[in-house]
Amino acid sequence: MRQASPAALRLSVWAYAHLLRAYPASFRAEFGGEMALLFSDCCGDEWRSAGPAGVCRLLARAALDTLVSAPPLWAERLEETMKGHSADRRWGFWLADHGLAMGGLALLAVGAATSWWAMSLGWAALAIAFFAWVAEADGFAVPRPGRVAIRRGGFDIPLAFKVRRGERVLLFVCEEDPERGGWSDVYTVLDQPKGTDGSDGFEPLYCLPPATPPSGWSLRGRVPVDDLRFEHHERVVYVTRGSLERSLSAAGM
Amino acid sequence: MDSPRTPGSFLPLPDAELEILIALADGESHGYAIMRAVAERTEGRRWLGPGTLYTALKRLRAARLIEEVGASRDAGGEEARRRLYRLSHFGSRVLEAELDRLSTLVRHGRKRLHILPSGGRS
Repeated sequence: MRQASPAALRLSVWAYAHLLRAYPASFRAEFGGEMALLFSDCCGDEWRSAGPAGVCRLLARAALDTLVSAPPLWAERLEETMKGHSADRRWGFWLADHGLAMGGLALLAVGAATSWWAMSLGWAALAIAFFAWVAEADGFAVPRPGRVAIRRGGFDIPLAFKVRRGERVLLFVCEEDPERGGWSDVYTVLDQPKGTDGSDGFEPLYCLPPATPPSGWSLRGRVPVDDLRFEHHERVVYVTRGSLERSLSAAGM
Repeated sequence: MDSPRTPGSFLPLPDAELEILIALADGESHGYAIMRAVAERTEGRRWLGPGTLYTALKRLRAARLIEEVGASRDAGGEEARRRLYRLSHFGSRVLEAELDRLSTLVRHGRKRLHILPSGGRS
């Protein structure tokens, strides 16, 4: 029997640990440790029975397994992120559909001129990365009239399309009350300025983390938190439209 | 209103999930043991990769066809990180229904091809 090579096995396990990043964070948190342990055991088996070639084969099979099993999890994750907000869901699916379609077309075009399997793997990896990037985002934001951006890690990445919706109110959340100090029990509601391109505001209502309100927005009023109903989705909290409208109307705003 | 949860509503089972349920029919087991059991039973023709295995376990657990019964008790250290799974009562019923469905399919197929149960042709 061959002696196990700690360095070769460690390298394979290290490579697989990086492959695990192709899975959503929640899945990794739950199963990543066990998956890495299982892969490490398989590496040991392969090394003993087939040597380095067996370990390389195993790593290649595990990479293919990842390519097949990760996308459905990202699709689930994306749907969960978008659930409960029709506008978000619409844009999310627009992105998923068009992004994949464009990726597929590019794959066909470039793959036809070169090694098809290498290009396929490359584009599949890009597609997974794209899904990951979108699904891990904090949500969608409307940084300025007519524009939509993906908000991630405090940055807005603008998308190349516009929205035109009929609603005007955007909820701005002040988590720390500047007047009283500590946590706020009121939410600040701001009117979004009328769009310069003729649009009249946007449908989504967002609870944003503490930040300076965009210039040009006017204060509409303050709403007691107890009157609002919230929907929680991952790291994003939405206020239901009905509860906001009721609360604004009760406050005469 | 949700439709009633019947074994038939889970059929046909995807291959990986069927293999896992069969492996768990012998008793509680962890991921690595399930993978080994499937490979041994199929003489190495079927390899459940870690991704396929754990996504299937996640789905089966969410559908309550299997239950998690804690960490492996036979050893400490890394072994203790392995979670054990077992077939639930409902999971057994689903597995039975799937095996019945496959048996019927095989019986009809053989009948159509005039193949005897031993493998010869009539």
